[in-house]
Amino acid sequence: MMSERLMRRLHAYHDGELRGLGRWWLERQLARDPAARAELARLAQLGEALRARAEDTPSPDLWGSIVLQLPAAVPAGELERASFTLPKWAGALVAAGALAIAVFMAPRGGPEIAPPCVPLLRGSSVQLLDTGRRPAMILQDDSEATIILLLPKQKLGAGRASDALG
Amino acid sequence: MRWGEAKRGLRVAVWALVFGLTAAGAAAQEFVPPAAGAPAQKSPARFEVTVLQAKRAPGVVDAQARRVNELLAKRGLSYGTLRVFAHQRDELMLGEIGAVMTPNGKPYRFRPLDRGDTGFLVAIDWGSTKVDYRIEPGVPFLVGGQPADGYQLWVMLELN
Repeated sequence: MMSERLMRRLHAYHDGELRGLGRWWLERQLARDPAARAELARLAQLGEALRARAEDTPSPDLWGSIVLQLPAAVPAGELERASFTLPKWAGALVAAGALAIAVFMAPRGGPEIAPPCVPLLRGSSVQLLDTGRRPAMILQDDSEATIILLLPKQKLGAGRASDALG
Repeated sequence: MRWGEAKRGLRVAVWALVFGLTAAGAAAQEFVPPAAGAPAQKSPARFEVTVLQAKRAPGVVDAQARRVNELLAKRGLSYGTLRVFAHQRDELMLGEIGAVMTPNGKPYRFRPLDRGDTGFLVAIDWGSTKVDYRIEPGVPFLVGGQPADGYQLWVMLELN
């Protein structure tokens, strides 16, 4: 009669879980004990029988049931959102970083005239026009001349340049 | 000669060739003659600035102001009186600032920022008005219309 401890070690050896000193000890035991060898052989036969049984069992085709559970169509917008989602604070962090860079990179103590900015009026000679809060009209901008009329605030929407005359 | 030494010598020769070609290319670019009509690299921008006082009431139109009067009249701004308050010429290098005082006590300042094929990008600052403008020779830039002391002010900037 084999001890329970030896049985556990045989199972572990059969499953390839026994290492080192325990494995060496069991192999010595197997060399000396025919009952242990017989038990190991039985375990091997049992394992082969189980594998043969598993191969005979047909694997269930799950694709049909999975497809039925999927939504009919995923909208493109949802797909994009799902694939690239940033936390809400990320936008604020990026904006704060850009502001910090702009503040630190801005020239200090330079001339009072504004530096060139991003072109606002494409295709025009006037690259930037900033009149504060005063309304203005570009009356002409061609090869003959460029004329910018600065209007009084109450004249906004008057419609005709001549209305600005005093 | 050993193979290692020959390899080292070959490597040095290749690097010398690369440096030589790069330097020759850079030198060739330096000596490309400027295109016809382009302003010389070191020449200043020659500006002419005119400050004008305009009134609708009939009066005197100064001889220097006749061209401005014609330009404004084409756009519906017909003045009976147009007088030159100040007129000056400035030669400015890139980054230099020219200025002229206007009757409303605010200086009209202009600064060439960049040189183009035929003209300059100029930053103009007049009170709260700021303009970046690509000025070309013979194309006057006029800005104004705001009242001051019973007149309307206009400033004309030209590149000669």
